[in-house]
Amino acid sequence: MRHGIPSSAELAGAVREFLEQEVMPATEGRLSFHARVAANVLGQLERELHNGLPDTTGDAEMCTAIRAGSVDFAQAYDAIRQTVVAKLRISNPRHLLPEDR
Amino acid sequence: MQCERLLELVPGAAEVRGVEQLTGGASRETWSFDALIDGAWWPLVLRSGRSGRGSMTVEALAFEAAARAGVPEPRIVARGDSFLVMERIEGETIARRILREERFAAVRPRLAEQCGELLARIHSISPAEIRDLEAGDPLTETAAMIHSFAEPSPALELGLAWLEHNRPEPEAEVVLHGDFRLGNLIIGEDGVRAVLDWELVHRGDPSQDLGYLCVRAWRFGGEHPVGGFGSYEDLFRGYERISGREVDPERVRWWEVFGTVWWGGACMQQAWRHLSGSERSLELAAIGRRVWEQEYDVLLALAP
Repeated sequence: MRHGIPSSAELAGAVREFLEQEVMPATEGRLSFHARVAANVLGQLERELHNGLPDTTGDAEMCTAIRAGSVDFAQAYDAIRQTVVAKLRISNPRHLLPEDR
Repeated sequence: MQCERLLELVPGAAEVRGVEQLTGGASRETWSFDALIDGAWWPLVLRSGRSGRGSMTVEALAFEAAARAGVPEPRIVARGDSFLVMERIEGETIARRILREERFAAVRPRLAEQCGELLARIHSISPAEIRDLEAGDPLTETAAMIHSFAEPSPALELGLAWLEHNRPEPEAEVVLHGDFRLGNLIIGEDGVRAVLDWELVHRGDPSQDLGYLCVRAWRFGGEHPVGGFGSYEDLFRGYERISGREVDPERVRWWEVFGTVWWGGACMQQAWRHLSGSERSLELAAIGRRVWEQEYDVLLALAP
């Protein structure tokens, strides 16, 4: 089956490709750098629209518990790391160590 | 930037050309240009910022004090409360080029030791040479900065708790650069040619500058712990030789974790400048999501 209407992620991808393939090579200095930043932002949107951000509703409670010293470090650590890894898979997967990608 | 303004700022300038903005958007703007003075063209840089607290006067005093302490610095041509004009030094500031390009291959293995030497020279500056140097409790201030934002961050909170729990004994305060890393150094094939961006100069624990240079964000993807280019041993050797003070690696590690947590909060701060409407900027907005990278790096540093 063919697709004739782009999704939001596909639109973001089209703008990203425009920036990467047409704007960046035709500009230099600050403008080229900002085109790269813009392309990266659109890449994030594409991944977020595909996979969604992790649930962070328990974060405030977790912070309160850490401040009160009432959490088990090892247990908190694993849960927190899992969420942060999921966020980075959206924002910048290349920042992750190979085992977390 | 208007040529007329540059002509006003540079004493004796008859003409200016090649005006180009290098960086901007932050609290400082940097412009590159050439000025015709006494019949010769001089390559110059204008750094302009806000007047008042954290003014350019402090930055100018820091540049000059560092030069007297043996740190390579550009000569200052003109200055005021909100601007600095200095000579333009040729070289590279972009981290990914310094870390990856072949032309820097010979200098990279020597950089960590040289950075250690330069930090020791900076720490030898008498605080009295730079007026109005701020000192405070960085951990308390950083916790307050992070808690001033609506988004809770369990990872940064874990970092703050670790820092509080492992806080080192206070040490005699020295003059700190405060932002000593690639991006703020002009690098040539012969090594560090100038130490720039004295915006965050303050007084504090000497290990703070050493740890800061090792923060994972300032490795820019490079595999080596010091700035992406060198080893702790090389950094400490250079520092110890010039300062005569022994480095405590545990203390440096504390400041490395601190620098990571602090940069996480500072990323939120920068994004807020955009989100609050005070300074709409794509770059500032994008930095907001780098908070997550700092969260991850804090967790790596605290891995059980």
